[in-house]
Amino acid sequence: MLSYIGRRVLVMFVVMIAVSVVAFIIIQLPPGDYLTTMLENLRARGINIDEERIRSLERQYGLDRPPHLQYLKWVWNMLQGDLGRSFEMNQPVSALLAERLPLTVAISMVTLVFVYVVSIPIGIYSATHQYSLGDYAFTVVGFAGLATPNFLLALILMLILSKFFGVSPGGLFSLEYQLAPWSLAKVWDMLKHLPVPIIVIGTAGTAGLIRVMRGGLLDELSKQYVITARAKGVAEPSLLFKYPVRIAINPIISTIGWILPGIVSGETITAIVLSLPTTGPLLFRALISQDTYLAGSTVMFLTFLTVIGTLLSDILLVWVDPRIRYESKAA
Amino acid sequence: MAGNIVQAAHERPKEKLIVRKSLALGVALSLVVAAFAVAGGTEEGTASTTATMSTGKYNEAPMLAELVAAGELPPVDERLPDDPKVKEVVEEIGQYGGTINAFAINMDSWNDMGEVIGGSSFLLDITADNEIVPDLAAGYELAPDGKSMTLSLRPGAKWSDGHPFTADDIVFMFEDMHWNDEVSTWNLYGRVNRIRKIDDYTVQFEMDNPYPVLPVVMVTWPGGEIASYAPKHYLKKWHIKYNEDAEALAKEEGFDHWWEAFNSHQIFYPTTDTNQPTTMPWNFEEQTATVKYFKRNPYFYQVDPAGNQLPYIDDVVVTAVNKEVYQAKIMSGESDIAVALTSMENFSLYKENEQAGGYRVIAVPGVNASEAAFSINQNHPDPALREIFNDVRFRRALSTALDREEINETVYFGLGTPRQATTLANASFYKPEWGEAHPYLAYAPDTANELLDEMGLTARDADGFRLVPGGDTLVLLLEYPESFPDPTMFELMKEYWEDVGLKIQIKGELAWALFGQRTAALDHMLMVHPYQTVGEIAFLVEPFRPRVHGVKEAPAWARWMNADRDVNYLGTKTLDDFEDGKFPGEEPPEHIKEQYYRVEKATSFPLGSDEYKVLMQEIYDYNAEYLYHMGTIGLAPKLHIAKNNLRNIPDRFGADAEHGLELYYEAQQFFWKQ
Repeated sequence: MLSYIGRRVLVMFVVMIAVSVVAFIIIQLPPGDYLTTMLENLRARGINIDEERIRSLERQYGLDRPPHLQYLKWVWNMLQGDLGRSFEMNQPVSALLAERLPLTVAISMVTLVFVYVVSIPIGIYSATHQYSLGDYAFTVVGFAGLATPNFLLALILMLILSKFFGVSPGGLFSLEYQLAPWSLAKVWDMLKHLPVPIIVIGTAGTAGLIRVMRGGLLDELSKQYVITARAKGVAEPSLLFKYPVRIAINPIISTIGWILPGIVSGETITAIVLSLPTTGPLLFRALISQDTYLAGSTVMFLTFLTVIGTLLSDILLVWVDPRIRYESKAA
Repeated sequence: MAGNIVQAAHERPKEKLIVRKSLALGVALSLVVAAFAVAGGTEEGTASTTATMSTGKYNEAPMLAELVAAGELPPVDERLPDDPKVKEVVEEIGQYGGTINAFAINMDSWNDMGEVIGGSSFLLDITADNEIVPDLAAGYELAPDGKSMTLSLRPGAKWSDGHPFTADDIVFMFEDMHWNDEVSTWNLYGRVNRIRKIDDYTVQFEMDNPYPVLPVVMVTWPGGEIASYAPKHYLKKWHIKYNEDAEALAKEEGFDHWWEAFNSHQIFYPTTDTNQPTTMPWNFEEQTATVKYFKRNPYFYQVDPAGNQLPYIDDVVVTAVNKEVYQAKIMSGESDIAVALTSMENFSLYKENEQAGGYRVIAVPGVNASEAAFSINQNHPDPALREIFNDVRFRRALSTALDREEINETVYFGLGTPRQATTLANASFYKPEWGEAHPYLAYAPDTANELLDEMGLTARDADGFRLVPGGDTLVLLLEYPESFPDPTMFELMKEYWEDVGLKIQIKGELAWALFGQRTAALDHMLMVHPYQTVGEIAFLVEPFRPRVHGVKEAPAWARWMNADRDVNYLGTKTLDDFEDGKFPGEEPPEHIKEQYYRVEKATSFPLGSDEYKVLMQEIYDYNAEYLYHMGTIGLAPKLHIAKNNLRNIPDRFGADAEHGLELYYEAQQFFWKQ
């Protein structure tokens, strides 16, 4: 087990280096750089800055250096824990991420709980009551949830809540609380704003999980050991939860690894539409304005989370599923 | 310590000031005195307001009066300059207090009530009659030869931390920031060569070439703290010239070089240093991921005609939201003021929710010379296409083939004005035949067809589209930049042009950066761009200068002309500065050169002089004749949306309006009516 983890950690480093190169190249691919974006934005407003001015600015931002030197500087700083500075925000990338991470993680965690709490019981119900009216109803709702674009759902829910329930549209706080220190009233205000993002972000995931759970469980339920156990008179609930559900839940565990990066970037579109102060919109904006270090470091951070997440889910799987445990021992 | 400085500033002799004082100031002062008596009777304010009134000459906000009473702040008379700037109010004398909540679509400075919130502090100001009057500065005097200008400051004016605002702050901006290669600034004073401090309250600008429009530059945003002055007392510790240990200080703050630390503290956007003093009505106090918070500047140098120190509003909160949420915030009534991102498209939606949201929609007469103007590449690499594009008949045909009345009805509810891309009618030298009465403005497809046939574009393909002589179908690529507010217009334009046999392909929503790249690579054909406020003064201020010659559409000509200017006109370069000892780009035709130098010369005559008028008319005559820029609809109204009891919102653009940001200049006199 330890050597397994050790090997995985080594591979992780290689992956990180490869991704850092690819990420940097992709970010540099679009024509121009942060400066051209900024100057064209000024030009859009009718302000013309002459070319010589641009060249002196390039030096300021270190954009006149060849890309490979920019890359090396970036990686070197990152190894020392310095994620670089955002051109556009004029702040260290680490500060920008740190400011947005707690709320991002909070929203994602609550969403995750929402998804599991809703989808696992529904999946089990649908599998055990296959082709019943309830199963059909959940299937329809599930497919509708999968098919509805998140941003549309977000807009509609937001407008309904704002028009009929007086919840201020967008953001996580009402105006009077956004700068106030944390208090019970502020938490309550945030709770009022949470349902929309959670439902919107959670809907697609819930629908998917219901299908996965239902399919997996159906496969298991028709297996011989279940029939045998049932024939021997094992009580239905304990039979169901002791064996088939534990197996059917495996695919869900193996995808936990994808949830970690999803926490940072997955809700991007929803967060943009709802104007949430999370990391998704930050990355999006950085990519749009070609804010090299902010975009690059955020992508690296995402990669790091993905790699860690995959490792975690593999370890979890080994721990949860004895078959995998014994197989790896035998090997 | 601050007290001592205040004292010193206060004791400065006044005779000198009175000599320099302009007429406007005199009027303003007497207004203050007269209005002071009135204010005593009408000011209903709270107890604290009345209390401060009995002790001094000027009134202040209750929240500041409390601080004064607690001994944390000097009295208002000491905080204001000896002779404060009197700001006229739009509707009525306001009441103190309250917060403005505004929204923006990102944290940059160009949104509603963004960092240019104050924009209200400029060295000089301009009246509706184009008269330049004092603002933060007390007055100016231009030498008759236009090669130097003396600017006098207001004794007793202060930064928001109470430190005196002096000539040193202006000299610091020029000598240690603009002219220091390591410091990033918006140097919009390229024509100023030297600056001299005469005394604490007088500076002299010196130019090698006559530049009488210098005061005009100072009434637009370059005249604010973004480009004209900086708090030397605060910034100097990061500057290597004033602090030998600046490098060490920078390292300590996590930077590699002193200038990186310096740049991050100065106001070169975006500001993140909330300790930096300002001269604007509100200080930048706090920032979170999506919120910027501004609090009143207790040392703001303006008063209203009744002697109340401005601003009226205590604080301003700007929240960054997404475009849709921005509109939702207006309609839900959470947005107290919205200007920058309101759109004509949503006009009826705003009106529908007016009552429920408790706001009013003010349709301000527009000032864009043309909401969209288009131009055609004069340096296209294909010789056959270039010959067509360089022909003035082609541009005239393009222009007259458009049914602008229909565009106006469809896109702007008929509220805009069909006109060419030229200066606004309020310019003193205006001729209607440049704009509203241009010979090729009216819808005349027959004329367009005749012009095109005359050019020899008679052969057509099977679909009826004209062919390039001896070649394939002439396909014109129409490109427009991202976030253009009314793209419906381009579909209409495509139809009109195809009606006269010109095949059009539309490629929309180009990122601005890509837009620039394509122009530089000479790949473009028809390019669309907004043609903004171009009144009397915008022309004179370099960064706002409109496009009045073919150079902008012809990057190769532009490179040649810029080099020619530097060598033969300004003398700042010699031929040796260029590769192979010759000018880059391509040499343009004579008439382009003449026009280019007319534009360069326009800044060497004083605003309003006869030479100036003649030259400006020549410039726009040429512009109308050669039509390098074809306009569509101009003067479409701009919507200002404000809560019903937020008053003093201007309902027209000021003389210094630039690009729809004019409202910031007035924000210090907004107030909540009780």
